[in-house]
Amino acid sequence: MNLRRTIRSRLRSLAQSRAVRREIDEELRLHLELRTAENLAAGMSPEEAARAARKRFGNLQSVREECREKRGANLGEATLQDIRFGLRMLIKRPGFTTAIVLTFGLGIGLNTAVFSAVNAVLLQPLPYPAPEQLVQVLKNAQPPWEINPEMTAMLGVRETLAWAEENRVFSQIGAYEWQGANLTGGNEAERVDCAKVSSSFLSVLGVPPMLGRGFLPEEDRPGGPAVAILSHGIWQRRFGSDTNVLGRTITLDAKPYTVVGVLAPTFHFTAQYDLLIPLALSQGKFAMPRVIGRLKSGVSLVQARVALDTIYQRARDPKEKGQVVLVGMHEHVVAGSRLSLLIYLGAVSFILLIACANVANLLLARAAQRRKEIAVRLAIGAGRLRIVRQLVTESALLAGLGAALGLLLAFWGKDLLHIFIPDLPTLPMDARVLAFTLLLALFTGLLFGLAPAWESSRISLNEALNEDGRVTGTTGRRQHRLVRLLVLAQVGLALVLLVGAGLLAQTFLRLRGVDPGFRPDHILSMTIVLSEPKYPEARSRAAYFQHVIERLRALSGVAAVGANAMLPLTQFRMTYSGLEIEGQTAPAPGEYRFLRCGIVNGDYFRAMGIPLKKGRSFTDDDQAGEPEVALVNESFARRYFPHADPIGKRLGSGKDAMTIVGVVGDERLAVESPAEVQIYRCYLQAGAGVMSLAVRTHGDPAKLAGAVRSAVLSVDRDQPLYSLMTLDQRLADSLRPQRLNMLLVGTLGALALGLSVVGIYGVLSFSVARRTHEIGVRMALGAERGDILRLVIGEGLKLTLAGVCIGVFAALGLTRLLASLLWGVSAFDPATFAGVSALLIAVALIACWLPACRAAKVDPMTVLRYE
Amino acid sequence: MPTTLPLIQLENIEKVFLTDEVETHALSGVSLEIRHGDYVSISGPSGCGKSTLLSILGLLDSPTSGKYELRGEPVEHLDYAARSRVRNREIGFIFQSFNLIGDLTVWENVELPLTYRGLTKEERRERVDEALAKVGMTARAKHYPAQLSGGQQQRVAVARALGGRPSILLADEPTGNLDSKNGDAVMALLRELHAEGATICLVTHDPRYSRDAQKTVHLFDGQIVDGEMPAIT
Repeated sequence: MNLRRTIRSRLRSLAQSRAVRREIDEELRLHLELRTAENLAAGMSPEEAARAARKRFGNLQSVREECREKRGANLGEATLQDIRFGLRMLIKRPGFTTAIVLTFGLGIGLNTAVFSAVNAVLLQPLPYPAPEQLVQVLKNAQPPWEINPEMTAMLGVRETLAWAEENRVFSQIGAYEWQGANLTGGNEAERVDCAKVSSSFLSVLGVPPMLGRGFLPEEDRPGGPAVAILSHGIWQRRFGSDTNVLGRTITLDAKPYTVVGVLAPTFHFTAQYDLLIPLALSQGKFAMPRVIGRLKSGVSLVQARVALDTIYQRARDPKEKGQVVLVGMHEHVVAGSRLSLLIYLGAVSFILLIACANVANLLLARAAQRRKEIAVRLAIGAGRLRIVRQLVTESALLAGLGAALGLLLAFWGKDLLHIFIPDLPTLPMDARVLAFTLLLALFTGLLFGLAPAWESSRISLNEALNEDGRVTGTTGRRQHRLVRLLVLAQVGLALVLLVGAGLLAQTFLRLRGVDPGFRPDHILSMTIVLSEPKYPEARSRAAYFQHVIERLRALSGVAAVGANAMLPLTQFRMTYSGLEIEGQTAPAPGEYRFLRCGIVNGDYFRAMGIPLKKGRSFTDDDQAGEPEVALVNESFARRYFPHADPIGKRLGSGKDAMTIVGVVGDERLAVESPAEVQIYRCYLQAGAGVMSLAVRTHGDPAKLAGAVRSAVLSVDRDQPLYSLMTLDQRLADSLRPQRLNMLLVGTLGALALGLSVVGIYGVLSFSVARRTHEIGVRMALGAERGDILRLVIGEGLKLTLAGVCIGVFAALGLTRLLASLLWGVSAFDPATFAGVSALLIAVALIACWLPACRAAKVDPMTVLRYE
Repeated sequence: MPTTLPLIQLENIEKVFLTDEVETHALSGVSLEIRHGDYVSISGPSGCGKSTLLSILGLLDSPTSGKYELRGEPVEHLDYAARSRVRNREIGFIFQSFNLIGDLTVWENVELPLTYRGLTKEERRERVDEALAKVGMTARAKHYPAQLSGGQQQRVAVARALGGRPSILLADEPTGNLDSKNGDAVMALLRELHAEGATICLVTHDPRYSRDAQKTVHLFDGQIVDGEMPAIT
C-alpha cells in the first residue's frame, strides 16, 4: 500500500471506524464461507467443512484484531483516548501545565503579534484590482540623482511623455508627483499634501472616486481647467463629509480649483495625500514625475523593462545616464519596512525557540518522572510509536492551549506593537494570522514534544521497571545530555538577541551623544511655505519673512529668532552643484561639486547657538541690490581654504557672485550625517519661498506655540505654518527609529535572557535531583559544602560558557543583517560582544546559585539510608 | 490444552551484559521448555539470573545468543514493534512492585493492554469486567491504585495480565512486596488460574510457593543446575 493510500485509509478509519470494522468482519465472514464452500465441494459434511475452515483460518479473533490494527480501525478511538488521558494529566498537574502554557503562550503570542504586522504590511495585497499587474517605473540613476536615493523614483518629463505615447507593454500608464500647497478659504489656512496626477492615474490603479469622477484628459493639459479630487480624510475633516461638495471651489496656493470627486476611505497610495490635482505634463516644463503602469496580461516584468528602456534611451536628456528599472508596486511600497519587520520576526522567533527549549526541558523532566509508567505501557505491549503518539498528543494539547493564550496576548499586544512601530496600519487578525498561529502551535507542539517523547520511548525496560523512581542509568544520562544541549542552544540564541540589542542600544546612545553643532534646547521651530502666486518675487518673499521675524522678536519670552530655508532636522535641502569658488579649479565635465546652501537671517546663528568663528554675520544692510554676501562653515573653509583666509573670497561669477564675509561653526543637518560643506546666503538677498523658523525662548518653548502661531498668521492668514514643534522634539523624532529598534530588540533580549536563566536553573535543578545520591556519597567521603557548590556551579558555568561560544559564532554570522540599522558601531563590535557575554555569564551564575545551595544542603545520612 | 508443540522453547540461551570493558555472563547455556498448561517456577539465589531469564521469556530483553521459539516461531530476532505485539497478545506480566499506573483507575489499568490492540470498546469492556470479576475486584473498578492495599493492587495487576487472554503469565516475585496473608491470597489466585488451564511461569525465592509449580528450575550463576517435577499437592 503506498503512502497516499495508507493516509487516505487511516483518515477514513479516523472518521468512520465503525464502518471499517463492519467491513473487516464482513470480509472475514466471506473468507470463512468461501473456505467452507470449498470443503463442502470436497465432500465434507457441513459441520466438518465449517470446523476445517475455521481451523485452517487460525484464531479468528487474532486475525480480526490484526486486520483492525493494520487498517487503523481503532485510530479515532485511540486518539480520543490519548486526548482524554492527556487532558487528565494536564489538569492533575496545574503547576506544570501553567508553566508550559504560559511559556508557549508568550512565544506564540509574540510571534503572532509580529506576524500580524508582517501580514498587514508585507503580505496583504495592495487594495487595488489585480494588484500584481501594477508596477513602479524607476531609474537606475547616475549623478546627480545619487544625492537622494528617493530620487531614483523620479523621472524626466521627456521619457514620461514618450512612454505614455509609445509603450506597448502597459494596458495603462499613469504619472504622479508630490506637491505641498497652502489650502485657504474656510476656517484656517492649512498646509496640505497634494498628488499631482495624470488623468489615467486612478484608472491605472482601478479605483474610481467614491463621489464624482476622476480627471478628464482635457483637464490633464497645461492651461486646462483647475480641478481637484479630495481625499476621504480631508473631505470629512474640512468639509464635514458634505455630499454636495462637488462643484465647490477651493483655493490652493491662491489659485481656485473646482472639486470634481472624493476618494473612498479605503484609498491608500504610497503616501497619505490630502488632494489630487492634475499633473498636466508638457515638453519643456520642469517636473520630476513618478510613473506607474499596469502590465498587459502575458507581459513579464523583464519584457516590460526592456521595452521601456528602449524608449527611454531614445527619449532621455542626452546629459543623463541610467537605465530603467521596474519593480512590482507592492515591492516598492513595502521595501522600506521589510528589513525591520523581518528582523523583528527573526527576533521573536528566537524567543519562541528559547521558550520551546524550556518547554522541551520541562517535558523531559516530566518524562523522567513518568519513566515507570512508560515502561509499564511498553512492557504490556504498547509500541514505541504508540507511546510517542500519546506523549506528542499531550504536548500538542499544551501547544494548543498555548496558542489560544498566544492569540489572546497577540490581540492585546498588537496595540503595544503600535507603540513600538507607530507607522503600522491596522493589524487584522485574519485567516492568515490564525493559520500562522495554528501552524506555529502544531510545529512547536510536534517539534518540541517529539524529542522528549522519542527519548522517553527509548528507555531500557528492565532498568525502568525495576528502579525505585530515581532516574539513573544510560537513559537518564541520555536525557540529561539532551537537556544540556537544549540549554546550550538557549544560551546561544539569547546571546545573539542580546548582542543585537546591545548594538542597537549603542547606535542609539552614540547618536544621542552626537554634538549636532547647535543647541536644540529652548527652540520652537516651524516651517512656512509661501504661495508662489501671491509671493512671486524674491523681494516680496523676503519682506514677508522680515515682517514675521519682527513680530516674533517682539513677543515676550523670545530671545532670538532665526530663519533658515534648510533648517537641520527638516526635510528641506538646497544644493549648489556648479558654483565656482575663487582659487579652485572647476570640476571636470561630468563631475559635480555639491555645496549645501542655507538661506538664513543674521540672527539664525545666535538663535541656534552656532558660533561665528571669523568675520561677521549678515546684517540688515545686506539687502537685495547690495553686494551679495555669503558665510561658509568650517568644513568649507577647511576643504577649500586650508591654508588661506576664506574671508573676502568670491563664490560664483558675474553679477550674482557672492563675497565670503564670515565663517561659522559646522551644523549637522541630520544627526546621523556628518556636517557637510555648506555656504549660507542672506535671506534678504536670496528671497526663499520656503523658510523654517527657529525661535529661541527664555522659558519652555512649547508654551509659546499659541503666541507664535498668532504672530505668524497676523502677517498673512493665508500662509499657514506647519510642523510647529520644539527642536528637542524634532531631534527625538529623528532618533525615533533607532530608539524603537533598541527598545523592541532590547525588550526581546531581556526576555530571552530571562527564559535562558530559567532554562539554566531548570537543568541544574534536574541535574542536582539526578545526582543527589552521588552528592551524598561525595559528602560522606569528605566533600565540603564549598566543594559541592563548586561542582554544581562549575557544571552550570561550563554549560553557559559553551552556549556563549556558540552564541558568539552565531552572532558573528547574524549581526551583519543589522548593519544597515547601525550607526557609529561595527556589527562585530568587540566591546558589545564581550559585555553581553559577561552579562549572560553573570546572570547565569546567579541562576546556578540556588540549585548549588540545594545540593550543598544534601544530608549524606538521609541519602545513604534511602539507598 | 496441551499440544504437541511446546509453547516456549529456549535452547542454549546466553545473555552477556557489557559495561565498559567488563563482560558479565548473566545466563549461560540455558535451555528450557514450557508447554501449555505448565506451572513452572524459577528459583535461585539473588543475582543468579532469574529476572534476566524472565525478561528474555517476556521479550523485554533479547538473548545475546541462543534460540527462543514461541509457539514454534523464533522470536529472538524480532524487531521492537513485533516484540511489543507479541508481548501484548501472548504474555501477561505480574510484577513484584505491581507497576499499576497511578493516574488510571483500576478499570482503566486493566483495560490498558487491550487499548493497544484492535479491540472494540464493547469487546474491551467485556474482557475487563470478566478479568476483574475473576480476581474479585469488580467493586473497586473506579478506584485509583493509591486507594487500594498492596494485595488488592497485585490482584488488579493479575487482572491486567489476564485481560489480554495471554498464552502465558510471567510473574516476577509477585509476593515480594506483600505481607504473608496477601502473598498467600495472590498465590492461591495463581493456583486457581492454573487449575483453569493457564500457563504460568513464576520467579520466586520462596520455597513454599515453588512447591505449587509442576516444574522448578534452579538457577545458579546463570546456569540451570537442577530441574525437578514435584508432585502437585
